[in-house]
Amino acid sequence: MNKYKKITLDGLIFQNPTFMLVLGTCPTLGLISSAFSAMGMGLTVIVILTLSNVLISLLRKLIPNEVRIPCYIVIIATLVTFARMLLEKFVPDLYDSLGGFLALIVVNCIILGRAEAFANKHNPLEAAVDGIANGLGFTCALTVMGVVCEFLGKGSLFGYHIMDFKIGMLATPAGAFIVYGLSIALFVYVIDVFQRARRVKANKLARENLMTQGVE
Amino acid sequence: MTVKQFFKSTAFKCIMALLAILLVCGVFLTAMYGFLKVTEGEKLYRAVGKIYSGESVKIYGIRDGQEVEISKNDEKPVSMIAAPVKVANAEVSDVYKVTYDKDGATVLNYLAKSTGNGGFSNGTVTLWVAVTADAGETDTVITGINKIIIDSNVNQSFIGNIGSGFLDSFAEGYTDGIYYTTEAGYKVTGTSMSSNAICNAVNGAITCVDVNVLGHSRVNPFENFTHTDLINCDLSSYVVNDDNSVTYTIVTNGYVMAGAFTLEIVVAEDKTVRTFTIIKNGSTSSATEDYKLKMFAVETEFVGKNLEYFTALMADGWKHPSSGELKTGATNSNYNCAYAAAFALENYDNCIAAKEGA
Repeated sequence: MNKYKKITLDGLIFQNPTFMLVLGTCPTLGLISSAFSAMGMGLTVIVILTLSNVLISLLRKLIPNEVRIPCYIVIIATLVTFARMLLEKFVPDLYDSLGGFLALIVVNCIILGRAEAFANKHNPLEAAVDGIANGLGFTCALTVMGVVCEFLGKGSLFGYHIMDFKIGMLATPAGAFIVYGLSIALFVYVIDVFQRARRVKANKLARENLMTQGVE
Repeated sequence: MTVKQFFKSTAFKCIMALLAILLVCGVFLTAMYGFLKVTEGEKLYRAVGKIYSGESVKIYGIRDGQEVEISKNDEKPVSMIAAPVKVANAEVSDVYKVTYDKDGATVLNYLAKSTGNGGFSNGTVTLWVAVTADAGETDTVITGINKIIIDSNVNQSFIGNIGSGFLDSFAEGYTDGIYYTTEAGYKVTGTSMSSNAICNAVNGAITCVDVNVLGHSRVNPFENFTHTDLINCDLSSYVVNDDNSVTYTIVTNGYVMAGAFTLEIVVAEDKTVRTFTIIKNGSTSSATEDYKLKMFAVETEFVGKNLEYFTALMADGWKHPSSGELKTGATNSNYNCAYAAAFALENYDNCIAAKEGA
């Protein structure tokens, strides 16, 4: 498989940070009661994750191994502070809705995890692809759960009223926890079915090859 | 370790790497802060923009006694009031004069940021209240309410139930001199205590603009009366009867878990309670216990009692009692009623003096 395709599929699906690795749980539970906030947080993480991955990859040979974690945190904190300034200036509604969770991106496990596990071992292009893929995986997961929680919990979608029926608890962090758990179960089940089907197909192909070789 | 060895060591490389990254990041953020700083003036214009969406507004405050236009670049926009104003059950922190053109005429509004007390769990609701005014030749008067939006809240778990329709009803129901109350229908079922805080905030905004900005005086029937802490002076009233008895209609403030009571208390000439009637019981009920049932039998027990009786029921200084007859499991409600009765008795002479003065 193409190297970049594998990085992308890992970030989006097979190593999805939210559903498969269960990272970034704090903003997930705090923000998925609103689809707008969830998507906004996801998009912000994409930008910060991509930039931090690229910067850390570029500096990986200059940063001594002993102080790599403090250096990563300083870089990530700078990017988060910059993102906060940009959002407060140009997208104040999103800035207000994200609240304290925006500052907490500094200690987001996904960003620090990708820096430590991937960016400091790969070149900037691969690190950028990894950042985008993982960020997209995180954004998609948050947005899907945000849509479910907002639709069922508030009867609206992205702030637009849809229906009067609502299950208020789903718009709270406790309800988000339930939706998060069910989403993980569903995602893992779908991936499992998909991988099993792929294994069956591969085994069938191998058997056919063996039989063909046997006939010859 | 020699100096030379130190400069070649890993420790030195680590320090230099960290310092270099810190320096670059610090310089970058400092430079960006200059470009991206959001001033207080800009924040004010954003808040105002939510209220007057689509309008090109001008905002004014008062600096050194002169009306000045506030720009987006102002670091500290000045308000029309020098300091926060406390009014009954509310505090108004800022008032701005706002003008905009509509249909060829200039519309005048006063925009007040008002925090109403008496919400759920003793919390507050902060509103932006846009009060419309008409600048006449000699006097500027309030003509109604343009719009209300919620700015923030404290402890109001069900504030999400408050919709724009409810907030718009304040503008539709504006009547000069009449205050908004939950009893008058300004409440959302299930969120009545937050509704109460909203009513208080709106009333506070109107009073502050009228008195502190436009300079009008509002007649306070309870001026010089004592112990008014738990009494809503805006909504309470009294009448001196022909037999020199005084009939009070008292609306109390909410106290901790107890909501506002509306009481009718008649004080006889011998300064005892002749009748004590609960018109609206502010005692809150829960699913497991009804606090109204736990209340002291105030309507019968309080009749015929004098001021000494009520002060003895309360702690020193008319404070909430920690023991005694009022501790029935609905102490806050009992205390509210006892306080109102004591207030009525203590101020009997003030009522008579006010009538004679008139």
